[in-house]
Amino acid sequence: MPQTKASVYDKQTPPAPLPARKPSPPLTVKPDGAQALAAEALVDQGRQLLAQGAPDAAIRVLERSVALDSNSGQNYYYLAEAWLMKQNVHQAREFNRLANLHLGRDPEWKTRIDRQNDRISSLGH
Amino acid sequence: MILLVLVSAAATLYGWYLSGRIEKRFSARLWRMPSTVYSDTTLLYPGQGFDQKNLAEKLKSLGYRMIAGRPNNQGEMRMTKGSIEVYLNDFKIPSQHRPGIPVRLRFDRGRIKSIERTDTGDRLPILELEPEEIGQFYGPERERRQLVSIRQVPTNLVRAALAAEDSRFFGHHGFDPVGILRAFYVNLRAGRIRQGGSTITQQLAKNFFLTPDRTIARKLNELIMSVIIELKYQKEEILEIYLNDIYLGQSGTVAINGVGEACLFYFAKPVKDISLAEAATIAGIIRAPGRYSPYIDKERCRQRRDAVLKAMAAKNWISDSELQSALARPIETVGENVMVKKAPYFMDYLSHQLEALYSPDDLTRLGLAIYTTLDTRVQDAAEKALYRGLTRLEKSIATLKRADPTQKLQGAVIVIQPKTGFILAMVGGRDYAASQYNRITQSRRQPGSAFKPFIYLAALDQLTPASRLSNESRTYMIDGKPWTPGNAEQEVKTNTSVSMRTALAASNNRATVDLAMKTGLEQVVETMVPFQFSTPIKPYPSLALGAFEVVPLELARAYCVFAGDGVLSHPLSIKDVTDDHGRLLSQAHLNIERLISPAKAYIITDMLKSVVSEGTARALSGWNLPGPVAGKTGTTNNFRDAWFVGYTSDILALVWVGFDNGDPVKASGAKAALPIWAELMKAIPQYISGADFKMPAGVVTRTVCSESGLLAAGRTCPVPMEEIFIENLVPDQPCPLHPARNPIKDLIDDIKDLFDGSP
Repeated sequence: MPQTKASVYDKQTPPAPLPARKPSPPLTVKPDGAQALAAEALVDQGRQLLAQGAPDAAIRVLERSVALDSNSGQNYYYLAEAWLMKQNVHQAREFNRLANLHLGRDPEWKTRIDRQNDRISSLGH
Repeated sequence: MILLVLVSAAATLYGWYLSGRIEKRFSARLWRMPSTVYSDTTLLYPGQGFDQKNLAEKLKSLGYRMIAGRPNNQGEMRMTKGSIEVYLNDFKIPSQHRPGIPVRLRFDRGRIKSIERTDTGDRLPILELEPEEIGQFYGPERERRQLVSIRQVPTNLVRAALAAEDSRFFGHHGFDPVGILRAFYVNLRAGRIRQGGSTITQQLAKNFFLTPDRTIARKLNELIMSVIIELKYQKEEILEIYLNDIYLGQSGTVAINGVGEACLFYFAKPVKDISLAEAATIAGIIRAPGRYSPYIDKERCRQRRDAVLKAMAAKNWISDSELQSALARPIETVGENVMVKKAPYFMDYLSHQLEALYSPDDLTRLGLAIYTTLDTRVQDAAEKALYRGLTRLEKSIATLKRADPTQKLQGAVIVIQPKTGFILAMVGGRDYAASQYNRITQSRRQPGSAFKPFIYLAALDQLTPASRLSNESRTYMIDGKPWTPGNAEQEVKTNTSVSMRTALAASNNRATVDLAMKTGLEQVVETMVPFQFSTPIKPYPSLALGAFEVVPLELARAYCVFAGDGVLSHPLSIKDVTDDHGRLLSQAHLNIERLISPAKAYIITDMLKSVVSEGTARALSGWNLPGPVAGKTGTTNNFRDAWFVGYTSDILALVWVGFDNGDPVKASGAKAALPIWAELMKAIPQYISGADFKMPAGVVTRTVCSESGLLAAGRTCPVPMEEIFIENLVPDQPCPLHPARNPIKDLIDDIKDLFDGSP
């Protein structure tokens, strides 16, 4: 039979106080609220995560960007890139199409989207 | 002698059998950890429509504490005029980690004006708040239970529980002969069982293994099991399980189990922070929560607490001064904030979704963290809007009232982000306690006119919003029986023909049936195939008026295609699942599928904007929602169902109102469902940017005659109008109803206008 004991409940230990954190002085920041700006910030995060070779984390962030601003098209382009990295041709193609829908009128983006499409096609074959 | 051996053998066998059962269940229980379900994170950014009060409520529901001074520690916040300062908690979810930071959010006229880090002064373009706990899978009833380690439980609380329930716990071996004799004496005098002599171990045995019967056989079983438990486990282990398991009250539909949860429920404190008086209060409740809860009878609760305190003092576990000080304390609770199961219908839906991955037992055992797409603010807004909307309707139409809660007028709401498929809110009925039937996912109802957009979609290969449809009364033969569709609104009963746009806006039945027949019923059914309705859609003329059944979730999903540029983002409720060490077990991403062309999706959306601006949903204009809304009302035969499905460029919501038994609602979709939709949208400005739907390539604008639907350029059409067309269906003929313009006459008219001062 295990030892019957009442030991630990005979003593009282006061909790240690938490160290106080000293805040830095606040700064005034110029507000420039824009959903598109927030979405853009997320696209940047997504790009960085892709550069780090973390497609799943990038997808999570880029999904949030789509929720904020689905008209930018850049989020779709990088989502296609992430799915390409994950070798999911179907999803990569669908997002590439959406990127083209939103950015296809921009010559520079059009070139990038077409090249991405070529890479998707070559993976598909 | 033989008898003795046989009895001994039987007793040994029985003991061995019980020991096996205890081993199995008890060890499983020791390691049993409920899975916790979390909402999605909350995005905040400058310019977002999010008022200060709403955000403060969100922070409170995340557990942030309001303080008077500047927040210096994680979890603290303060509100000042026009700003909230908050020291955010560390935030770690799959693929994301952010240490706690102090920030200040400034507000201006219901919007976030700026977000800044107060430690570095950095301006933040975006801020993400941690997910909020929605509930736990602890068992079928989803009790509230905050598991605590025995090391976290203050000594005073342990002693108080022992004083209240089993003061000789550390001295006995599972049963307490003194206690049993005392109870026996009391029961003998009373002639019935009035008092139990159960030890904590016996209570545990009773709670885990046995029915609540008060029989001699059960008592014997308790005794044997208690001894076995004591033989196999340490006292601390037994105590820890007991303190986490005991029932300590009820809040609405939620049972409060364990001291961890009880401390939050009664005192809004973590268990480690409770005072001696509070510990004695909790311990006093154990005996009969329905009797001693401070929320039920504060005076009785105080008397019981005092008895526990005196019992502690009698054991010398507290000093006399501690006793006097604790006795002098009033019972100070945080105030009952009746807990209702958060998003209960969503939780049910979730557990169904999780069935494919985990067994119900795994969910209650493995301590998984399940991260979902739910937004608690949207869920809250949807629940409130539905409740208020149904109550309003019952007030305005008294015959809709029902006394029986299971027969009441019902409603359901689902909110989806059409471009991600994230389910933000799900309300499957007006009162989960009365009915757990989820009318969003389980019911099958006729969509009525809410189905019409799909008839118009099927026609878009040949026709345009300007095409003319017959509005004349016609009789169709269905299975040998005549059927003559009629129009509901007076204004669409008179004209002999109407444009497609007008027909959809006014929800014109005759014209829509005409359109379905022109398009071909088989073609309509064919168009519906990619939308994957699980209910059969058959090529009958009444299909045009939505006279078949759909699952509301599937109807909302289908509308998402219009809102999402022709792409279906499959509805998603679960994003990530991690184990108890935070390791990712499964992950679901935005999954898209192109169903129709962006051009067709845009044209339907644009026509649905007309429903709101000039059609059956025009009452929405009174709600002053920012930006354009597309939507469709639906009302079925005899007013059995009332629908409104509406969306902005950011968010889509479906509202259904009806009776489960098919009794008439006696109100149209515009009257019954639309106000619920509008109230919901007004409450979540953070999701409504006001942006318009973007016209894709392949759609062009032309000026056409509103009577003929053909080109008005160069003609004398009295009411020319801008209309949109899919590029290859642009009309190439001039309006035949009105003669060509005479340039000389036009010039003279212009000069006349000039002299008249007309513009």
